[in-house]
Amino acid sequence: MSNQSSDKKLVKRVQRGDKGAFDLLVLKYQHKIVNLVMRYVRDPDLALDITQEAFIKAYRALPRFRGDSAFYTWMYRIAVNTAKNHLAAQRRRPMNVELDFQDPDQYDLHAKLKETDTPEAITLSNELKNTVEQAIAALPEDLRTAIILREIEGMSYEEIAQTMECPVGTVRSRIFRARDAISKKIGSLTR
Amino acid sequence: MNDAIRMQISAFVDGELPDNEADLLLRRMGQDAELRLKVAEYLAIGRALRGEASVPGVDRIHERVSAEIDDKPLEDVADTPDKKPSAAIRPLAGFAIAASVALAAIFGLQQMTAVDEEATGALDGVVAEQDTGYTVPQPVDEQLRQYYRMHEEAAGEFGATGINSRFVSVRISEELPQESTPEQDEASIDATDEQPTQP
Repeated sequence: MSNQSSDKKLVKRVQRGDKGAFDLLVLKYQHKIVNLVMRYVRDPDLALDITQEAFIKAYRALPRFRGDSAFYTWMYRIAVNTAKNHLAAQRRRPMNVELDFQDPDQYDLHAKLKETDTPEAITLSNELKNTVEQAIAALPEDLRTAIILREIEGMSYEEIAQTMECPVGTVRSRIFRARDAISKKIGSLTR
Repeated sequence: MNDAIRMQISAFVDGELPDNEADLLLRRMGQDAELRLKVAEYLAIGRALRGEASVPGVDRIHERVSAEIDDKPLEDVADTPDKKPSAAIRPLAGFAIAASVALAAIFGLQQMTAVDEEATGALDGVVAEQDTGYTVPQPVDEQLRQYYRMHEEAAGEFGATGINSRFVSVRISEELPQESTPEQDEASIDATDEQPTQP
């Protein structure tokens, strides 16, 4: 089941009243949406508020969502409109008026975040990054290869199976065991 | 949470879980917050591996959203100012109409055989209920025909075309002197026509 396909199923479940399904959609996209909103507002706290508002609007509008576009595409538009509305209400201009809104991936988020990082946030972020890197280094080679091909190279299970010359089921098992081992090391850092 | 479920979650995060497994897992995740948090954890591992920056506090957005939507029901887009009764209510409404008209008709029939003035007054009361002014007492046959017509109209309005409504129609029409057309008889007796939709 592809990502889009699983989102469609989740949307249908939400439309039938399953709030847990909407929680899952938020968990999947909250980081992406916040990063998107940060392109419009400097303040991270404000970005969180706008993101929350965007998700609430999406939840209320879901009964009318027909699925003509992917859920994330639809959510993206709601988040952008919410951020723009907020800016209009505050009578502020966007951070960079030369930004190409049609291709947001061009925008360097890291550069902007450096201006607003707090020391605590930086510490937590480094701690998590270091812990994950140590956990990866401690993995057996087959598990390390599988998780890197998946998470960094973005390969499908089928492609990884061909690369590693093993069945798809083995790929699924190796990626899971890698995540499980890392998960045990990072503990509460991700919550 | 056992290994099998965590492995399913791992494949789900990658969009690689087969449909048949995904349906069951989604149903479980809808009810179990721990399973959903495991999804968040695996996504976080991916972001850390890719060195993606993160806004502090973003991991709590889903809790804030959940807290707010718990008080808010989803909008019902079926709500319109002149909406008809929902499919769930139609069968019940039809049955209630059919039952009340049947009781009135049966009561009237019983009283008709006893030639009781009090019963005639009760029937008049039922007929008068439907009219705004004083109604001259009518022969019982004519009153029953009126019940039959009112029942048919009300059943049609509520979409109550099911077996209960049809039974009442047949019973009333059986008691009446022959007046209905052959087409009407055929339509009322044919029980294979559309049934009330069930929720």
